[in-house]
Amino acid sequence: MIETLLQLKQTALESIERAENTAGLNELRVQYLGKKGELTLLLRQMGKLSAEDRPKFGQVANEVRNLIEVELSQKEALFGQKEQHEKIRSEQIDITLPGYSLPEGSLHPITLILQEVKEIFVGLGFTVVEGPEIETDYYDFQALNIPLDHPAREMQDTFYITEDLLLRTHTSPMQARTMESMSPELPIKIIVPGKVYRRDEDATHTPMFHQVEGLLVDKEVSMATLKGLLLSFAKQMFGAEREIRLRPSFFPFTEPSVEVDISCFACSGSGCRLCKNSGWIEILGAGMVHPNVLKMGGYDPEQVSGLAFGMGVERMAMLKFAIDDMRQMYQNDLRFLKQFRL
Amino acid sequence: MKVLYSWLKELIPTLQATPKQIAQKMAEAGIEIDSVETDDTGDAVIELDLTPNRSDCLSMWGVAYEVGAVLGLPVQLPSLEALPITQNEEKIILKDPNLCPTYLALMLYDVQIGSSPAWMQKRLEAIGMRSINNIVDITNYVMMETGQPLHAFDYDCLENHQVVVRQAEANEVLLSLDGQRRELPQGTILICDPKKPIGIGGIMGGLNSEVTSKTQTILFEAAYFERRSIRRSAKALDLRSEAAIRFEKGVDPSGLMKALQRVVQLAKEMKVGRPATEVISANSYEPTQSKEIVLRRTYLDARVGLHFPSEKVEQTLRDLNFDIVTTEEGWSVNVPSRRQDIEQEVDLVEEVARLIGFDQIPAQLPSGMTTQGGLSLRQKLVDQIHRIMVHQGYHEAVNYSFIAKQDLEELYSDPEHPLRQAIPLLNPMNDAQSVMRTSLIPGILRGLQYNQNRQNSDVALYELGRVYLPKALPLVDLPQEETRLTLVLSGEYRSTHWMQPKIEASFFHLKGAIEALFSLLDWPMQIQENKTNELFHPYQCADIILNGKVVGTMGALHPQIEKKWELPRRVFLADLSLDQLLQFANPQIAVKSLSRYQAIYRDLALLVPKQISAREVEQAIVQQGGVLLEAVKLFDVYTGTQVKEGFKSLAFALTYRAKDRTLTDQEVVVCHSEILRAVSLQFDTQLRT
Repeated sequence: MIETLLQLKQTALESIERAENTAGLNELRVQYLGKKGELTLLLRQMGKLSAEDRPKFGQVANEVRNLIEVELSQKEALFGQKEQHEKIRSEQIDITLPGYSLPEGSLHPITLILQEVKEIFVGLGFTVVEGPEIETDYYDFQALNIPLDHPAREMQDTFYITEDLLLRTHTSPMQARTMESMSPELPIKIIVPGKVYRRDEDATHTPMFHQVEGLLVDKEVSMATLKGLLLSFAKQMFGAEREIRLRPSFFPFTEPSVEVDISCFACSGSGCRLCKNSGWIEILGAGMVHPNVLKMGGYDPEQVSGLAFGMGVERMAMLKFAIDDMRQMYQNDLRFLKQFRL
Repeated sequence: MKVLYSWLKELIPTLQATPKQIAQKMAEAGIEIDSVETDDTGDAVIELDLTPNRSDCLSMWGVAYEVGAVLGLPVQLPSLEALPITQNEEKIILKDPNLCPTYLALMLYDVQIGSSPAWMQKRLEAIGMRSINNIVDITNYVMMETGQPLHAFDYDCLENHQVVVRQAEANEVLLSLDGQRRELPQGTILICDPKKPIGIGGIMGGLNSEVTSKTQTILFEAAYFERRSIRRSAKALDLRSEAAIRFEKGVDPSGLMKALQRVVQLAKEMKVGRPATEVISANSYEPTQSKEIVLRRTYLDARVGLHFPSEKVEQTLRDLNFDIVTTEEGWSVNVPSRRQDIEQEVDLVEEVARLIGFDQIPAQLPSGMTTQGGLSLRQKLVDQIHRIMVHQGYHEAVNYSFIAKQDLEELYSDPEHPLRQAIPLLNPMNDAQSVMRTSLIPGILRGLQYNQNRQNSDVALYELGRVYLPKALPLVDLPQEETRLTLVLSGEYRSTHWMQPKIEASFFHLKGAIEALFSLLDWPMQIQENKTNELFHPYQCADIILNGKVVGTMGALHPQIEKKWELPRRVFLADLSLDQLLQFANPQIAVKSLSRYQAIYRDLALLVPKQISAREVEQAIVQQGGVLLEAVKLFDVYTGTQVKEGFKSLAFALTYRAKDRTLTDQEVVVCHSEILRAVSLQFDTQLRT
């Protein structure tokens, strides 16, 4: 019987060797080790053996069983690994197919610029205030040192509603309104983002546009402060290498008045189309708050001084995003809008 | 203002700089340059773009002073002979000394009309003026030299040889020199004889007193007109002559006599006649020549933020031809009357700083108290709402605040509708921009239309901006400016994707965006059917309610409006008052404690009559579910062949959980069947099998 046992061992090991997959192994397990398996059946016949031969047979049978089990499980592990590899391989996808995402919208370039400007000045200790877009003649002009019939009114062609009410031509009325409401408190450090209106339309003008006004009133504010503040803004907005240049100009509500240029960010000053070969790009108007404006706002120009600036948001957007026609900003063409992000 | 280089050289004999160099230096000192054009003779015309304060540079002499100051060179003007003044109130009658305080007249006899010399014609033409005849050319030439506008009348055309300066009465008319028939606005200052107007004061002369080849005697006028009055009249007449431009910006009051002295000089040189030896004036003419302004050292330093050396300050003021006296606190500066723009100390600060150069000034960050800075809660929320809209797939639109009145009339049929009470502009650009918007809807629909006409048919746009709501019309007080949010959705919500077929935009895609807004800002949103809003589809429209208040409306656009506005695809529109929403802002996040006990999930599919809303069924479930029911979510709606007529199937996923223990199956079975019983009873519902 031991002979048979050894024979069985031989064929079992050979079958295991020949098995091709886990399923084959499972069949062999049943064939040899199952309840009705060949080894199980042989063991059942052990009773027929002599008492003397029995332990020897038992020992060999156990060894055979163990051997078959070890072989089976080794082979099983091997097949398991192989089959998993095959399964993984079969799960190959075309990673170049388009992904699936939720629809994303976009912020308007004006909002993008406004958010950036606000962030910079908030970081410099400014608060953000807003004011009415429909204004009185007093706040839009008179409180800003532009009396009735002053030639400076020609600088901005105004939309009127009545003789006294108009669409604000700049965000500057909030200078006057803020000073009035805060006087005599110091310091005033505000920026005023918002819509403004002038009767003008071409590639670089639209009848409505956006400005950000800035006002700082305190003791010891000088042109050097103006330069420092705007230099810091220019570097944050247009790059750390930017320099600024102040050129004398005229606004009735500031004295001295300046136009502020930044060194061209496209050519770094060597001259290009963007800066019209000058190396400089005009970005905003500014100046020291006129003593008459401080006085009307309730401050003593002998005791305090102020600086103010105003920038065109569309102009910044055109510069930063290389937009060539300002009117595009108000057409809301999705092909235009989709080029912007959050 | 055009400046001829050779002419300038005559006034600044030591001038060496080229036209380009002059232009560059002037620009650095604050006079903008439009262009520099050189001709083949080497001469050049520099065109200045002047700010309204620098009317002194509307003359060659003024420009010479500016260039002299910029380059530090002396200016040499023609030396003029004094002329005595005779006061004659009979010959010149000033009816309104407020509008015309000074009127000087110079007579020229035995006039020989002809053409002016070639040099004068050349100069006038170079700076953009036409040569007419020797007399008119003299007036123009002297105006361009001195900045003082002059006029020449044919003396014999004056009734009674008298000049009367008065305001226009009603319905007066004059043929002006340009041949136009001018209806003169009442109050316009007129130059007249005792019978008729002969010129519009400070703006243009009349044809009836024009200098002609037959003219024998001339009356030259050099007057001072009140600038606001000239500005108003020139605007009303739409006649911005060279004279008007100068008067409305303000001429030098002491320049009148100089101009007439120069006329005498040129008339003699050119032999055009015999000038009178005196000037006639209606009143005494004693203009102020200059004003004294104190410039304090401390003030200059504080405003500039830099200490300029005293020699440098003094040299700059002298270069400007201002006389200075050094005082203990700084300087007393004598500013000549040609510089009308310099009124106070701070103006001198600018003169000194701009000529020494702003590039000298250092950059300093603000000193003084440190301030916190920051955005208000409202401003932060508005920024957040922008982000939510973008994440919901909407593109931000920005529209003009003015819209077509007709758009509002098309949308709102009732003439008394509050949104039709839009504030009109007195001077709009065009009809499409004639009133201030009372709603963001017309603008966003125009945006949709614009895109659909350009093959961008899948549109998701939002606008966040103000509308302008008058308390009464015509407008007396400032209107309410309300901030609103409008969304529009049309076409495909999602285009075809290889994983999924395309999805057409629907009411529920729009509603989802609004729900996301409310959920992210932690506002409890409720809705309510609205069948009467004429903008919307009566069966696909809901009011949006927050804390019992209607804060907005959303729905499908009414098919009639879609048709009228030629919008080929279904349009979904939402419009909300952000001002009302922001009142209920709740920036606090309060985290609820997490349950340690397991939840049990059960679905409930019900057949309910079609007209019963999902919300009603859900409310009934919640009510019956009590404390054990943690959440209810509708996950399927079905009407079709397997559902009997007049019914729909609603399927809800229910979550059961107790706060203090793990629920047993038995408890959930009881609760679930009680819910079913209650809901069936209330709505004639059946369990779907």
